[in-house]
Amino acid sequence: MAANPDIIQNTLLAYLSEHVLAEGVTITPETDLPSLDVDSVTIVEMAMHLEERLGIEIPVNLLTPEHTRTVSAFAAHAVQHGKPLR
Amino acid sequence: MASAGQPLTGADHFHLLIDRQMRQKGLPGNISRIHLRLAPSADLMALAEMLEQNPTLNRVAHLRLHHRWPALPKWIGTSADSPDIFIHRDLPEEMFQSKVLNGPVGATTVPVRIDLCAWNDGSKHLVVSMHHALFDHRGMTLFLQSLATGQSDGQLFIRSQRRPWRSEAMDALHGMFSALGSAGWNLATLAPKHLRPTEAALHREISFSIEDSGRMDLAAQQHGAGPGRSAFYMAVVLVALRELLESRGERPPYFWFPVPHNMRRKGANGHLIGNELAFLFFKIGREALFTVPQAVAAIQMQLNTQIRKGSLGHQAALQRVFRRVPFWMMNAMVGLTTGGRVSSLAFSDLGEERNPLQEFLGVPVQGMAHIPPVPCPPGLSVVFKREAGQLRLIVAYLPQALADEECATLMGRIRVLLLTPRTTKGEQPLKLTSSRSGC
Repeated sequence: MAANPDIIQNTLLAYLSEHVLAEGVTITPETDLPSLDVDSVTIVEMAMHLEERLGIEIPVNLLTPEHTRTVSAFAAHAVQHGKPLR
Repeated sequence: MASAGQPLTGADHFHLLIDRQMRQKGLPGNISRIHLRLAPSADLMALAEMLEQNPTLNRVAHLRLHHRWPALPKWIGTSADSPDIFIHRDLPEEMFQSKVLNGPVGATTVPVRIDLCAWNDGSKHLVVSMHHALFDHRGMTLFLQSLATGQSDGQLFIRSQRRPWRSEAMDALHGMFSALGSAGWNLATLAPKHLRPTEAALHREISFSIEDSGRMDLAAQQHGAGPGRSAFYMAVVLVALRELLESRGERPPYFWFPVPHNMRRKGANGHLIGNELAFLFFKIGREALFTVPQAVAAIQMQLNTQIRKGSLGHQAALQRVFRRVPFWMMNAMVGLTTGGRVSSLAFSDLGEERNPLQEFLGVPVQGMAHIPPVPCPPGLSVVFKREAGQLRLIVAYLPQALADEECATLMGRIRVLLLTPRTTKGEQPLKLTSSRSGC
């Protein structure tokens, strides 16, 4: 399956709103995630969620703080490095 | 707080268990302290008077643990006297260590205390001592801010959530087997068998420059630590501990330890009182601890596996269920599954504090140190935290588990490993000939 950046982005935004962020906290694709205290364990959980939901495997050890600064950066990394789950 | 009291969270209760073990060994308890170095112009009496009026301090200082098994343990409000605020004048530095940094705080007595000190060299200090069953790190930060500004806003207690008992029980069972089931009796420890501390815990701290902290970030990435740095910090500490144990002629087969993870919802201050934590458990074999890249890879693999399995949720459920279990039974379970060793070390990465405290009630703050509790066993606590881009490493220890010279060697080695970029040969062992007295 070709990775669609919009679908990845929306999937991540929905995951963060539902499972990670406090009530009333709004998020956009360009929101700075470290300023919301989104930590590395949450980033790994986001990668696992993409795997489960969209069947895209992301090499977590290749992620850098730049790739995970915003949802849009994460989605771009997923498009570039994500592979369909075997 | 409901009139019937505020139930402790599962993580609060877990901290009470650690507190109990520490007190049984004659230590002050599971207490975190924050030490502020204040400007020498600070008027300690005026600060004490302002603090005495602080509404948050008064509410917290009047809480007491009420525990009548099989009911859930609770915090209840009491009508106690003024909060415990002590002023010490002309205090020698060594007395500060033994008297203030080991001052008692208790869940059933007074859960917080404040010491205002004038050392005999003219410097002024403030220490806030907090029982860990009340606060997680975020809660401590919020409490300190509330003391520093004199303002209290936000939610006092965590909101309780009810879960269906069947899924809670299943998750707890998963948590118990995956955590305690992996421990075993041969885990590495610095502590001697039947450790009974005769001296107070000590602590040392290294504060790295922004430039060095940046070099460490780069090294973390080169070593494959992924989006965070915790795996790199853990790997470095474990490699250095393996070397230290080998210098003692010991070759334990593996390290086993829990790592707390902040389970609070992100992006808001949240509540003041109530630990909202779950633990990930790592069992890293000696064979994975000869190089930092090997160790990072082993840690990353276990981290990913645990997240995939939903271990954090299982551990949180286990902690909640354990609130119904008497302490002696929990002690026995942990003791039996670990051969009485409990853990190889206590490790935390507290993350980044972007706005470190600059003033305390109008007095400039010249420095801040976080002094973690030292669970016994294992008698060793390693904490990483960042403040405005600067990494800090804190090692707190019992002298019977780690000698002073060994601590200096350990911290020097950690420093070297943190600053060593990955070699192009990847899996080649890092050279061990670097200076061992770098701290």
